[in-house]
Amino acid sequence: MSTTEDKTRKVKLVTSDNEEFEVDWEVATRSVLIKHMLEDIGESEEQAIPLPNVTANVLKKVLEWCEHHRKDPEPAPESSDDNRKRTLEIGDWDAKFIQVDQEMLFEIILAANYLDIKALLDVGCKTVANMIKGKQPEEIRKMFNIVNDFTPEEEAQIKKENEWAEDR
Amino acid sequence: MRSDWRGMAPEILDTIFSFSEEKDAARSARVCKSWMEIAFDHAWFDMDEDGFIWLCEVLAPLRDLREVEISGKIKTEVEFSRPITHSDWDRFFYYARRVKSLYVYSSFDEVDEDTCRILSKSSLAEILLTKPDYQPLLPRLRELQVVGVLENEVFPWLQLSIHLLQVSLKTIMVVFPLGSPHASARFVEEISRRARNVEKLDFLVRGTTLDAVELDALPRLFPTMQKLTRVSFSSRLFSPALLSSLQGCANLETIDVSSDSLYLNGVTLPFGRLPESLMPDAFPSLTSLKLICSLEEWNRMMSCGECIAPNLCHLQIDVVSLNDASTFRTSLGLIGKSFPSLQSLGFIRRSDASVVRGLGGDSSNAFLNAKDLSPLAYMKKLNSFKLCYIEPVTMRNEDLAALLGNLSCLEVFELHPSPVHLHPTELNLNLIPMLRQTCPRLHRAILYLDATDIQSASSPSLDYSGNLSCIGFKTSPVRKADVHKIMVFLSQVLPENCKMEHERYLETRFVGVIDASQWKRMEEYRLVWENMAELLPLVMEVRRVSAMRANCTTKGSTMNT
Repeated sequence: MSTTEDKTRKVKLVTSDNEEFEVDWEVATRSVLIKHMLEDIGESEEQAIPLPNVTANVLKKVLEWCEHHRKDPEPAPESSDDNRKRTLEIGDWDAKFIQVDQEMLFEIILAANYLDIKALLDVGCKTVANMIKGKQPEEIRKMFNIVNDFTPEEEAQIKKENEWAEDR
Repeated sequence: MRSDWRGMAPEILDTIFSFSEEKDAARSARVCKSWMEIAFDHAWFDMDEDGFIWLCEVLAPLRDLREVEISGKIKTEVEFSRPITHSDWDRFFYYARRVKSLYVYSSFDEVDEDTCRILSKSSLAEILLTKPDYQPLLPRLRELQVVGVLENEVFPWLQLSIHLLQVSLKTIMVVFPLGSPHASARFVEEISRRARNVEKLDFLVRGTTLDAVELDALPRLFPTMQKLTRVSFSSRLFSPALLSSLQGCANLETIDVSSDSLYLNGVTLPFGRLPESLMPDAFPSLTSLKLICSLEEWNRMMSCGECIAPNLCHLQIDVVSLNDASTFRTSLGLIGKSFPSLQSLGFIRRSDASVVRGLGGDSSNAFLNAKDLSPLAYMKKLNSFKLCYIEPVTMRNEDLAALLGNLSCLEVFELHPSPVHLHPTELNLNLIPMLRQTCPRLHRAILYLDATDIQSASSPSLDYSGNLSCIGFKTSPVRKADVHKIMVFLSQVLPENCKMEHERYLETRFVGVIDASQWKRMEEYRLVWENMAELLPLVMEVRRVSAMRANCTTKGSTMNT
């Protein structure tokens, strides 16, 4: 598959609610999942790729991100050794892009994970990490509508044992 | 549909908390049970010895025993308030198995913080006695850093640190001395016995002199470390025997003898000797080598025949002494012949005052000229070349540009005296447009040239092409009165986004070493370049706007006709 062909090639994607999207190969292959699927079916077919885990309104948003980042270089494979990243910086465009309601944020993260778009997943996860920053557990539960499933005794114990970790 | 944050996939939660600070991860652990495990992994990822004492508190409550003074700091000695039971250990390991990095710098006086508790000896004994045999205290510890004196009369940090050496460790950093020479030597010995899987080792030194006991322990360590891929040392720890001992490490990719200028206070540095001989193919996996040696020694070792590191890509030599230019030329030739894959090459001078102090004698033999650099032409893969060297290089713009023109991959080029020195040079600002032509891929150029003769700078054709994105002139001689002219010149030859790098200050440890009038001049030059570095973006903006206007005018006139 030569790169010159790839650039002009179009890819059809079908969402779970049966909407069809036609996008450039370069945009679609920001998703590693789609890239692998395309490699599997080969270039002969104009076959549409089904995405049963993504709805049209979410895919539209995800493709908007892929379009803007179509020229980005391939991310370097990260070493599995260090799974602490710390930096919370998000680029200007991405920061604006991710200003969505919480439901959409959740859906974008799920879609980025499913479609295997590492850089978009990071943008979503950084946004969540930012929302959690400095908050008490009760505030976090309220923000994300999470039910507290600890007994008061359990919560008291882990609070005590984690005093150092919470205060550092 | 309500989004289910509680049921978020573990790998996504893991990514989220990897961006959180430890304390935020720790609080998130209390949100709900399905977040707890992954959040704790990140909250307890790393700790210092203060964190370790908190971890002990999970075993059993601690109570204050007495106040003690260690290295001039008041600490509270604490002990367990009840015996440790079996179920305490379950709780302990619930957290302990998440700890991947531990930093022990109990006595490091530059760390000024509230690590005010210290465990009693009897409590430590109780920990080691009651701990289940089947696993280490921190079962998944990957990184251990021990810094400075670990022996003190109150708590045996050394003993505990040795206890924490284990097969799960991948990275160890030690800053010597750890106490008495024997303490340091013992710790090194225990590394080889208990932490055989280590891949990265860093040995640094702070403080004053080292004992032979410490220095002798290191070479004995390496033959057992078969997984080692990277070692680094302070140059003070480096010895011929050390380099020889590394030959057994088949996976070694990086040897880095770093210059330890940070703590230099009248400490004698190595004389730059290298091993008598090395085995052929001594370092089969080595790609990066940073050494301190004299070029005479280097040439002797390299002339022994066999190539010591066939895959070497990066070489930097911290040159201890150079007596004549032909030695340098020989070195360069040997390097070109021995390392065909070389991508980056640097010659630097170690940055301690003794190098500068030795100047002033007859060093004219050591002046390098274009011929001395000619072996460079054979290093076809070179993309970075740095010659940051106190001996002057005498050559003309044309010679240098032609020489570098042979290096089609060259992206980074530095040529300036280092640490600091002012000497006459024939190179001037006309070199820049020449370099742009002969080295189209060059994106970083740090040069020492004579900018006092701006009058003779030829007015270049307006060509802003090229990749140059960073240029710098260190303490190149320059006149304040010429700033405007130089800015105009630079605005005619630099590509649009090119920035100018400048020295932020002259290193104060050379005050008094360098002649006062020379020092004053260097500071003047530095300030002029600093000023120009600030002006450059403005000048470039003016150029951009006027080019745009000119463009509009041309368009307008075409439309009119």
